[in-house]
Amino acid sequence: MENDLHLRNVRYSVQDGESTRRVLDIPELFLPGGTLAGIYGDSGSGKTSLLNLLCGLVLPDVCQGCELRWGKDDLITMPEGRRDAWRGRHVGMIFQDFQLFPHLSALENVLLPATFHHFSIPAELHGRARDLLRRLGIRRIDVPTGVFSRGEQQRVAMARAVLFRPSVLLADEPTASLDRSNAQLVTDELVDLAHSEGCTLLVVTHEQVLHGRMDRRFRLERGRLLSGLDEDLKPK
Amino acid sequence: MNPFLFLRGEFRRSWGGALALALVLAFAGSLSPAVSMMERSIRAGMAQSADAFDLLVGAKGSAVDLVLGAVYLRPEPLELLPAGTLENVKAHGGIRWAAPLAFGDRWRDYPIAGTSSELVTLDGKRPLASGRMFLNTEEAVIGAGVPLNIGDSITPSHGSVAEAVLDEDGKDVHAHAHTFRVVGRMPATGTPWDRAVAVPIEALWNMHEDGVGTGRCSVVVVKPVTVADAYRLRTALNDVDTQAVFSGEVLTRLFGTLEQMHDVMLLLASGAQAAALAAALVSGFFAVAMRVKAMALLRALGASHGFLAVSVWLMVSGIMFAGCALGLGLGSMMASAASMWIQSETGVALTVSLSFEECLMALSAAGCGCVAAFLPAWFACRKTAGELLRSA
Repeated sequence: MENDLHLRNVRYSVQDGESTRRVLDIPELFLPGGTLAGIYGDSGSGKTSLLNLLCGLVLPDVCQGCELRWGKDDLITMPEGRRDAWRGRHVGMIFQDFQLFPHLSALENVLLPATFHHFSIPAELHGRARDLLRRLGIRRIDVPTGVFSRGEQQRVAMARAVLFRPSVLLADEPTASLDRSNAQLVTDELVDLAHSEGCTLLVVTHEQVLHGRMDRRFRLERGRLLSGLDEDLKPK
Repeated sequence: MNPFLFLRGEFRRSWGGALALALVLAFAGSLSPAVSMMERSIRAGMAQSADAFDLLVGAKGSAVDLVLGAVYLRPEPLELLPAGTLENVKAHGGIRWAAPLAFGDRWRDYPIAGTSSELVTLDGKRPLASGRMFLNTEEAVIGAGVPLNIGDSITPSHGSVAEAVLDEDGKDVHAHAHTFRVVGRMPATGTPWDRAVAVPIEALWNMHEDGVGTGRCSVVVVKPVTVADAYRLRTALNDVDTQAVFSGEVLTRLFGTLEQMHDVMLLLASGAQAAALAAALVSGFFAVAMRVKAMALLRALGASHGFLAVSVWLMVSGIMFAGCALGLGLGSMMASAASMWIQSETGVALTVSLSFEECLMALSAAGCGCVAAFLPAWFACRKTAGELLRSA
């Protein structure tokens, strides 16, 4: 399928002072398109690096037989400019701290990625941005998001992430800085959005509730991707 | 691509800093146009003031003093010409009119010029605005800027304006016993003569039996008939005791000095502007460094290198452009203020106008700024998304 994920022999190292440190080492991973996958692991286990790799922000170490593909789109051979464009069109990103531009309104924040490609934003995208905000319960669409509650900010960020109907949604601890009721709301909406937009969803999270809604769970341990264990997520 | 939405947010975030930077640039960029506009208006104002004074005959000495005294009514110490010089000048022929000029008295700080009706009306070419010409030594015709009415009487004081001394009661210690009645007013000329009180030269002779000798004057103002006459007269009137000078020629020399000053000031002003542009450029780099996180985010959301480069370029060059445009306006305002001050001090009407020259100065400074803005733009876009993420 178009948004199946193929990973083979993916290794990723970072320069750490004088030495290089291996952050990720994934011999093989296949996720069919539309899968909802949760990832957890200790800090430093490579979760954020994995998300950066999956959206082409960074590339794996050069090695024989190395493969990082979404459907037919091979991120390793794609030139950087094309990769940027591909990411803009196909990947929606959701961050723990929302990463909105606080001086832009909710609507402007959602439409910002459209300005990378259009001088004048098509009416259809305008309409979609308004629909998404309405659907996610944001009423003050012309107010700068700096004054929004954290839950509202994350919902604006979700609307921004799915503006272009991406085939992949990547979320990094999307509920970690929210209170319980907002976390529940965002969890429900994230899963709903992934289903209704038909996206593959990869969520890095430690929230049991969110993991409970996923099709598959993975545990990252020192850069290695293992099958998730239910007891890992039980409250201690 | 349309970076204006992103820029709008950044401007809302740091409009104070952007404004401060634009104002610094505006101030630094205002000096060159102000100097240039001032120089042009002073030149034009001075030249216009000398229009009526084609050829000046005075005692041997400084030609510049002669022009400054006769044309601009500056209190320059001018030697008296030998008696009979006026008649001698007139005897040369080729003269439309010739008028004597003598100074040394004033009313308050308005200089009194002893002359004849030819100079007051330019031999009928410039009629009085109101009233009539003086007919005897008790009457005076005032310049447009003298705060008197027709019918008022004035008591002149001895000494030039610079020498005025008031006693405890505010009365001038050098007051003469003589009085003049104002009978006419000259039209506004935009020259220092708007501040002058013109009286018949004979009146001065009467008042100063010891000083301005009867029949003597400091300057003879000559209006030659033709250009050829002018050159002939200048040669003929330059002799042992007298010098004849074209006021225009002396002005050209003065303008030469003015131009050197103008060049030096322009150099300093350009230096200030270059320093301000450099500071703005450095601020541009800081702005980029401060926005690494925002730029990493833009890259993560799918923005290209080009989008970042164009955004930074627009941000930096926009501020530079706004600063230079504001500087042009500020420079005009400064030149207008300075010219108003000079006008009130000297009576020389100065018209400050913005010309292509100043616009070109501002444009070229803005142009340099816009070219320099490519540096922080390149600085912003040369990092890969991964590098941005790591430094964020």
